[in-house]
Amino acid sequence: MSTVARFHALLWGVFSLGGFIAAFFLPILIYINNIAYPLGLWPVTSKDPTRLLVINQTVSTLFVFAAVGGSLFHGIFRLSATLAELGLKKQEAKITALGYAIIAVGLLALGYYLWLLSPNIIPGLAPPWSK
Amino acid sequence: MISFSIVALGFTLFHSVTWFYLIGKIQPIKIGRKKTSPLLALGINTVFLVIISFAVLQLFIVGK
Repeated sequence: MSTVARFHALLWGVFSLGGFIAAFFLPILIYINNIAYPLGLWPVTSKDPTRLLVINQTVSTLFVFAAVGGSLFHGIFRLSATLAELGLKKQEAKITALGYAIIAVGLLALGYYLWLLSPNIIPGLAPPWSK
Repeated sequence: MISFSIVALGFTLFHSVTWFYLIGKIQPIKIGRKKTSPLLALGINTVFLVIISFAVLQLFIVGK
């Protein structure tokens, strides 16, 4: 098996992992953050879920990163593969490159945003604005 | 925005159900001469989904 084929198989493995993450973690995250909090439903009521989940909370910050990042990878990877199968075969390389770019930018933006909210997430590597 | 979130939650749960059924179909577990069915995988993973969701609520929200 060539290195490219191995790398491709590895990416499909990450896609599969992202599928599990999206299936197990995303529903509850959407419920907590986007439905329970604005509507004041159990168990969030009046507590701000952003404060509860990511401000100086290491484990739950990692949970949010895994849930959003895994789902992003899964969704974009599947979408770019589907577009190629739907008749855009000639554009496959460009679509794949664009998909990886979106994933990379999305993961970096997500990591940066969570780092802003929870500067102590990486021990010994506090962001400059927190000093 | 809340309407969009409810639709998104519906689609996410649809993804969960189809994903659990799919893994039961493409990777059945062999027990003796029998193989597990996709519906069994769907049922077991749905139970896990409920447990994980409650664990997330308990760990990150209710306990604070």
